[in-house]
Amino acid sequence: MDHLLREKFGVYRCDGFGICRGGYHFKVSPCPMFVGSDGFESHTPRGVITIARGILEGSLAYTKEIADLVYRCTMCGNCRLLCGAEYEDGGPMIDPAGVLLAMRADLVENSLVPPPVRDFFKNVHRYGNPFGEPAEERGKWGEGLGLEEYEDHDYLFYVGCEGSYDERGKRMAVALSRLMALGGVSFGILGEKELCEGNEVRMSGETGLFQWLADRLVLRFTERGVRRIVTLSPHAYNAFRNDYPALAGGCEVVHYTQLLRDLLRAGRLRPLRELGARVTYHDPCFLGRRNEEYDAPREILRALQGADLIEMPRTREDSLCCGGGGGNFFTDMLGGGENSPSRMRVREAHGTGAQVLVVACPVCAKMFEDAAAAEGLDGALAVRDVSEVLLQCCSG
Amino acid sequence: MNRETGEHRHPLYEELAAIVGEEHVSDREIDRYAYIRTPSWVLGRVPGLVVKPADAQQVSEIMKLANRTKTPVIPRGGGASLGGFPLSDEVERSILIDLARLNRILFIDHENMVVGAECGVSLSHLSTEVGKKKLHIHTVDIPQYADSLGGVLSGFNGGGCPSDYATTGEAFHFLLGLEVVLPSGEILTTGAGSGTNIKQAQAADRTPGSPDMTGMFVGDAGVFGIKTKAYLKLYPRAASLAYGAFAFEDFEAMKAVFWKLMETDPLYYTRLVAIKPQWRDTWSLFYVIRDAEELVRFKADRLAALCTEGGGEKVTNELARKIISSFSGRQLGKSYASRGKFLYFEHPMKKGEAVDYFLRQEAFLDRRFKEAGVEGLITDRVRYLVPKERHMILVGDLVFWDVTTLSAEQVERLARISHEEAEHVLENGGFLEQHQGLETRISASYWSEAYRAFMKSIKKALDPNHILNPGLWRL
Repeated sequence: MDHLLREKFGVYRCDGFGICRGGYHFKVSPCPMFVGSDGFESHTPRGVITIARGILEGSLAYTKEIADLVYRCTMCGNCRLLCGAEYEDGGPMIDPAGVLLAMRADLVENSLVPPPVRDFFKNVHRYGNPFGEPAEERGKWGEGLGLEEYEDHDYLFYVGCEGSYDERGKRMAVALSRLMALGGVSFGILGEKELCEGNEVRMSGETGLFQWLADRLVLRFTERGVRRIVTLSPHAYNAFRNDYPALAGGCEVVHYTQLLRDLLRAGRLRPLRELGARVTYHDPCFLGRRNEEYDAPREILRALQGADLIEMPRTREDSLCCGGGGGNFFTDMLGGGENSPSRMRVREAHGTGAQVLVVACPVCAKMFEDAAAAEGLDGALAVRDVSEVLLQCCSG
Repeated sequence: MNRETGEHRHPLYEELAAIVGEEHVSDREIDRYAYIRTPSWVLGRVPGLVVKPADAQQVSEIMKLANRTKTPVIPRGGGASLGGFPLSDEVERSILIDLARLNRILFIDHENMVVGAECGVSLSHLSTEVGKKKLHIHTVDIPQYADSLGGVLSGFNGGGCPSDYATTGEAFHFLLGLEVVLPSGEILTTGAGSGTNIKQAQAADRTPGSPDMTGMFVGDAGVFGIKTKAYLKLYPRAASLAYGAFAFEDFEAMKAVFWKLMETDPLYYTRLVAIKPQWRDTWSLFYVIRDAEELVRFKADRLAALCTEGGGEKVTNELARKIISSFSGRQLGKSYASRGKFLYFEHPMKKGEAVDYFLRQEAFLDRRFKEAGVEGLITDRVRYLVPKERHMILVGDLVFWDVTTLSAEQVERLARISHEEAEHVLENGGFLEQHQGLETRISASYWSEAYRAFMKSIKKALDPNHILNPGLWRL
């Protein structure tokens, strides 16, 4: 339990009030791990910290049950925000997700990870992506678009695994590529030389594999002289921005919504066609709570004629996770069902009267599209990405 | 469940699953273990099984089963008890009843100004819902996010530290009636509420044709019954609010103004706290006024005049917020956790003796912390005096340590100081307000023989098998 020992301070600093279990205004807990569970205390952040303390004190040992529990967390960071215990400089003092991450790292070192997580790691290690698809298929999503391999472009478009292999993600990657071309952005891709950036690997506790991926990817960036990266996924944005120290200072990283916002401000994109729809926007955890970018996507949506933006009751830092973070998109440890966070969230979106649920993340897009279908909301609530709605309004 | 054999450990698993549904009962080790945590310094013991009933009827059936099998029962609301979890040996084979599913708001009756809710509802949710109708319930600040309605009515003396009336136990005054599942499994309604003891559809009073039996279940730490529904008075939400603070260089000058403010009619404050955080050299009088706009202006002017005449100097609102956040606020847990683990030494005293007692208590604690070697490890300390109506003052000393810097021996010494301080307060004419968990054992050790016998006879009559919350109050 070496990793958990390093989180001992946070474990013991927890006062046990249980504020992390629920927000002030909501009857329903904002914790994805808890809402989809049978509702026992073990599935709350406070419960997990109690279990962690039990492990530190020798009252409990890592077991399959504990492994199954800790891999349900989506690392959305809501509990850390709700707790609010912080140092004078504003840094979080108690981070339940950090404690869970340490427990995951211990489980990895003790070969106790659940089989779906093990398979996820295996695919990433063997194929460089969690889908288990060949590397040479990576760039195929862009065929016919006239995309160039990155050489000396202004931006490297880091497409990521979902944008490269998942059908939903591919549609987003195509829309974004068209918009960048329309806005006159000089960009290139790595194609089959791209590799998983490892955000979900790191969030699943496999620090060794993450380092292996990061070292290779940084080398590929460096060899090509990459100065600016635009990411499709907020998860990749988070990893490059916060967990790739080798990139720090030498490379600017932006999420695509930030780039599109700048293109709109500069008048390089002109959304002249009316959208004509009531829309609501879902803040992805790794763009919003973890990196505090709430405004760029909203600025884009407000720039669209005929887009009536209605906020959901839980918005910005209160946003409810789609349930796909922390590796769950690939491992599905959280499971589905009526009370899964993705289905709760599409019900919330539908409840606003919106016709379109707009997202800014390929993971959220896929999770919500499946959830809307499961809720029977096909035709009533479309799930679309920011780039897709903007492209619709910019197309002649 | 035993992972190797697939068998359930707890002998009542199957019967409880038949009552509440299999998904609402668990004897898995991690599910049981997670419930030992509260804001108390002391971890509780692991219960034998956890069950989550949906309503009073299911709670009743669980109690009947527990009685038949003489199995201890521990009810649990939000798990925010400062007094911790029962530590009796009995806990390890107990049924822990998690009341979180009893979270419905039954009605908000604007005409009669009554709200009814199940007792597992969180106070934050209840408060938010009545707030949407521009109404208000007197509920607690500490910690509110996590408190359940039933937990608050069972703890302290029937309420935590409320947001408007400045001291503990006030929720008791705003309670109209309860539905309680007795240890026998019978469902009883007291006071006001549907199906009252006088067979009326609704009563509007705590004592409809009988003594106040609602009060018997208030601040009882849940030993006489499990609260399943509560009916509370509603109030219109005050249209206007003002707050601020005056700083005083001299303690005696502050005290003189404090006394005057407690004597005016009407009172010029809704909430008043004399407070000195560790990071301030001076005492401050912090106030909140809630009322109609013109009355708020009138009261604020009068209060300011008294403070200024008495030598007080108004501080900026930003500083006032900072000062009070070291003691209270709706998000109290947040500021608490940032400073470490705390012990609170808080007692109501007669107004005339409060300040002398406060000074003696401060000296006593200083001496004990020094002897225990934890004086230099204090991360924050907040002294405060709070009026409790007009005749009492709540005397408080809130002390924080970074628990990670304390040795096990130092933690034990602090627990001892907490007990010694309880003796100190009783010897000095005060009384204890602790009505939760382990603290009930301290409070009960100072009961008179006659009172102990009286309480034991009530407990025996209601709970002959002694299954509900064993060990609390030394009953």
